[in-house]
Amino acid sequence: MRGTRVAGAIALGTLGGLLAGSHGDAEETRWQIDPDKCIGCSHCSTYCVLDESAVKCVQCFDMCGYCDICTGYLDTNYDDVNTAAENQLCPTAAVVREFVEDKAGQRFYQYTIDEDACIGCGKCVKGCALMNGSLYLQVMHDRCVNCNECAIEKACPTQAYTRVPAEKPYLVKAQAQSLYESKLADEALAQDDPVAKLMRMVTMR
Amino acid sequence: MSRPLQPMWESLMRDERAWRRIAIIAGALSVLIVTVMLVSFFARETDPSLNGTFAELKQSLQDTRGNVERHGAIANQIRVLDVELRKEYFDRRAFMTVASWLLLASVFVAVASAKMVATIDRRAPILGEMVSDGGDPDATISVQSISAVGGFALGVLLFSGWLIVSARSVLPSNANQLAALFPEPESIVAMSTGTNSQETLTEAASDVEQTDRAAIEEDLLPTSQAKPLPTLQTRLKNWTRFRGTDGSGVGLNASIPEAWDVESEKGILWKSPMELPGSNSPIVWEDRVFLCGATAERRTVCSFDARSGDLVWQTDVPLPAPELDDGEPVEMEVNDDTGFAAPTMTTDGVRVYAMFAHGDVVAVSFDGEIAWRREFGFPNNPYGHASSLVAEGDVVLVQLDQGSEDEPESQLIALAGATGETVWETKRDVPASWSTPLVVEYEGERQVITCANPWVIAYRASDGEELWRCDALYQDVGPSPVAADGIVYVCNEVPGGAAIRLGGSGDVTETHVDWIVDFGAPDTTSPLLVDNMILMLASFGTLTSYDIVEAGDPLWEVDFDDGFKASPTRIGEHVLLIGESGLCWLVTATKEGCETVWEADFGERVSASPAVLGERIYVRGDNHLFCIGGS
Repeated sequence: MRGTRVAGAIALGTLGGLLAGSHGDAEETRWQIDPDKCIGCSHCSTYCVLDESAVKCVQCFDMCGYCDICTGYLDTNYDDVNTAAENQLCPTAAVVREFVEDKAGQRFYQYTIDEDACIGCGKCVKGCALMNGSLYLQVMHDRCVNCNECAIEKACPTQAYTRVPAEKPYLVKAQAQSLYESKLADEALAQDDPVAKLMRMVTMR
Repeated sequence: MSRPLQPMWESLMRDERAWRRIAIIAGALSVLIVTVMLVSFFARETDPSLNGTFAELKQSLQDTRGNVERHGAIANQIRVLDVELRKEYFDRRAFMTVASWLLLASVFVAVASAKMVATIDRRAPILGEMVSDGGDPDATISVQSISAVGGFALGVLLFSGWLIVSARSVLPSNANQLAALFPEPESIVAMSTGTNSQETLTEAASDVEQTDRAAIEEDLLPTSQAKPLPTLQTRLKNWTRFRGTDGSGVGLNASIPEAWDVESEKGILWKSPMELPGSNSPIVWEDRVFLCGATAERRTVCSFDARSGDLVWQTDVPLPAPELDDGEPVEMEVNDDTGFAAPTMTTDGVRVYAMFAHGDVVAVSFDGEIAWRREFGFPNNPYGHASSLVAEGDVVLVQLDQGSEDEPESQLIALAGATGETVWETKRDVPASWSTPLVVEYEGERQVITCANPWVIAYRASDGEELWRCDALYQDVGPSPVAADGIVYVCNEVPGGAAIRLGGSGDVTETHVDWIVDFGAPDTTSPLLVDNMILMLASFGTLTSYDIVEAGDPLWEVDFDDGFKASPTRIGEHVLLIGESGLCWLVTATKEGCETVWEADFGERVSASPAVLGERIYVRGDNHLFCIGGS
């Protein structure tokens, strides 16, 4: 009899806890950079508690101009438009330049990010901001340890760090957002998971 | 079945000495790994390009341009060093990963071995007679616990009480503090309308303001009031602002040599050294050329004799010195390309007006005396303020766009040219932009056209009232508008160019846009109207031409092998294009195509647009002010 009462009390407590938890559970969040506020100051590469910063550059191809003279790729004082070290802006050659086509007398190139080489210094982001702003920084959640108090957030000069829902941990620029929303409205695209689709389109990851 | 190893294993399990050695070796290895990791961590370079030698070589590369052999050798050195630095960087990172796992393993072994030693060393306790001091130890602990908890509670109570009592109200405690929060907008003394509301002026800055006030009072004397401002017709005969008095970038009546050469000085009337850097363009009033220059430490306004190139005067403009609440100076950062003196000056024929990245406007008489100065706080602008000033009637227009799309802090301000007082100011719901306003006359009314993201907005020049707006431009807007025959032409790299008919009111996006084009629009330079064409020069060197009426597809596109910051300028029948490297092209542009008439090289970087007056072209390079002319 005594055992039955104890078992009943445990069952009731468990049920109550589950019910309370299902209503009072706080939304799980992740750190992320608002790309419209980021100025590419390079703090992301130096303040992260990880040796290799969790912040990496991503490329929004729909915003990219595929420029030959890419200000996100070439040093401001570039000597020539080629891949030589003295002309590259990226300190680790993480921005990969590939010829796409020659159209109307202009040569167009695609720029992708080698994520393993990227150190999140934001130099390309700052450079690209002079043109289309298609390169921007994001916290990569396969690397980020999601500290309660993010060291980069503390150092960020523009308060670009924000908490976002864990199920939608990446952000796109406001301009790209409206473009993608209209694209995602397409029935064929809507069959896929919209968040995953969005990030694939933005970062090609 | 025999198990020969069991005795050895059992003996090892009881061998305290062996485990102790293992623990010591593993512990020492852990310490060694930690030490090496710490050394590696603190000796690391977070960015390979910050290496001192690398930076020096890159600087040398710039300095040796023109010396092909030396230049090539340095480029090779950079490439070799780049590979070395990157290899070192990634090797270090790989080492840290391996070392982390080694450390984990060695610490595990050390702890496990130490635990074995402890287990083997464990001895059964020897029970002796309990020694008691007479008191009950449980009762003692109980009293101590209650005392500790009680003491802690009392501490929390007292601390909370202190917090409540000592908390200050956020409201001002007296009328003076309240008044300080709302400075008079017409006040002549410096004021801050930017984001740095916490800024306070230092005593030095206050002294400067007192001087300025005295100068203003002098300027208000009846004798000064007797100076009439030149009429618009007179101003149109001069180059009074960025891209000329009408903002079109056209020097129609100019007759200039079709060929010049800086090296042999053919066609170069004079060239004068520039002391301070600045990407602002020259303005010209009769026989005077005006420019400003600035660094983080010094700012000047200069006047050159247009006939000889002699520096007539150079006036130092005091630096604002705002401080944070803790007394630390506010740090000023601007993009290298923008610099501290990007806005082009303007003149009304009596005074010249300059604006600097620090967000202050200064008026200087034609004699070089500072008449007044107004501060608007460091602009909240990611690249630095670059919108140029425009003298209109008796006011100076300041398009002070700043902030973000979510939190715009922009405004258009009209300052009285004589005193610096605010005549009117209008808030703008747009983020930071770098475009210069254009003043046009339509049906007897002067309109100020401004470009920003996303709105092109027109204001009545007399009172700043908004007349119409058009959703036409996105992202960072740099190009300035031009106008002709009742149509305003605007452009930006995103989304392209647009022609907006004047005469509308409210939102004219759906009603007054004649055409839109999406190819070839620049992000920095301003468009140029040539006959019935609009020319747009992209930063990467492609000059694109559209029919001004029909637009549609480009008439033609021509590539020039340079980057461009200077806007194209029409000089007589020709168009002058000046590249960033100093290369320049004089071309003829017709609907049939674009033909280069002459190519030259200024021999130094040029990012400012030229000024054209009479038979002379004034071009500002990084180091010199050039005057091109036939006589």
